[in-house]
Amino acid sequence: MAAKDYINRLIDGDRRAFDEIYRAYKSVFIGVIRKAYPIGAEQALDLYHRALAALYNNVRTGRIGRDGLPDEKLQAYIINTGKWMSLNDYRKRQTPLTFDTDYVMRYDAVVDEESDFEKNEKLAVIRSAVKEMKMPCSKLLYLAIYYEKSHEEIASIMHYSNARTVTTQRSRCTQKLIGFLRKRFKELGYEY
Amino acid sequence: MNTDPESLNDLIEAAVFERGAITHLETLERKVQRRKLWLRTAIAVAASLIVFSGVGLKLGSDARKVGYAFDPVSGQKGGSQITALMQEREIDQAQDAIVAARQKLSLELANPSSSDPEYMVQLDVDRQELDLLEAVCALRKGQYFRARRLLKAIAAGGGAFAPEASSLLEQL
Repeated sequence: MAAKDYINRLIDGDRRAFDEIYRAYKSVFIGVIRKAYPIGAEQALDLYHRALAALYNNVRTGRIGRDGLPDEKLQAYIINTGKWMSLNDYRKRQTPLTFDTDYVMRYDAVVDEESDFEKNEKLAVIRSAVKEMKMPCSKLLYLAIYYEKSHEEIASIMHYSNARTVTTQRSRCTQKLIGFLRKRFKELGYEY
Repeated sequence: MNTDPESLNDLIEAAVFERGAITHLETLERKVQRRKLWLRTAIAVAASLIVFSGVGLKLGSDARKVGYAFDPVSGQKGGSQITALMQEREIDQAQDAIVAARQKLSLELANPSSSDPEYMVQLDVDRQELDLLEAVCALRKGQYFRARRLLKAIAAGGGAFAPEASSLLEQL
């Protein structure tokens, strides 16, 4: 299947396309990355997961549009993202949550990029806080944001009385997370 | 990095989305690995079954050939209804007759009708003959491993039929 179809399907909300992309490029990605860097299979797989998550995030936020990534470029895009992430890991830098296609496709630009210490630290704190989120907030926010479930659906899945309860709980979870982040930023000496 | 409240919300949303996508892919990978493992196990089991059934068929066929090539009358020390049944290829009946003969022989050995030592030796030879005929019946039924076990016991016993048992074992 052509890559453009994958991206268009993701834009149209066809989540199966994400799984199909995963299966389609996994072997080649791991092969190329392991050839380029002295890393193990597990680490390469972790990079692949992160590269695809970034791809999906860029589609979701409109950074990759219907004609933004030509058919033949998807594999190169995923591999370049993986290489960039590997380089960032090596430099102990955070890869942005979303980024422009042009940027990652120009690998020389990635290699020479300037580092923003504050940006890195804040992003590391955000990623860590999201990863460490406890139940029920973790499940609720994943269902709402990643799986794009309606509050009615979440109420049914998580056995809440109604959608309004979900709205309240979601707001509480977000505020709790923001409060934690503000506190951590302050501890690190940054302005909110 | 701009972390004003609105922008921070966007960052949180993007980070949750990223974590959700990674978690989804990790789950997908586990499923793929489980499926692969299941498939590999199924293939290995199927291959083993094919090999074992193939080997089993071959051994059974070899045992039958050896069993039918052996003439039970040739080494016979005494007349027997059992050998007659075996010559007529009535193996099930021959096996029944062996069981009956063993019971009769056990009773006779427990309570001999004569105390003549030669008579006792004859009874023991009869028992040994029954052992050999049982092994030959097993061969003719294709019971390779059972026949081999019985023949080894006869050959190791060094009795009257040990040479026949050894010869049959060599042919297997």
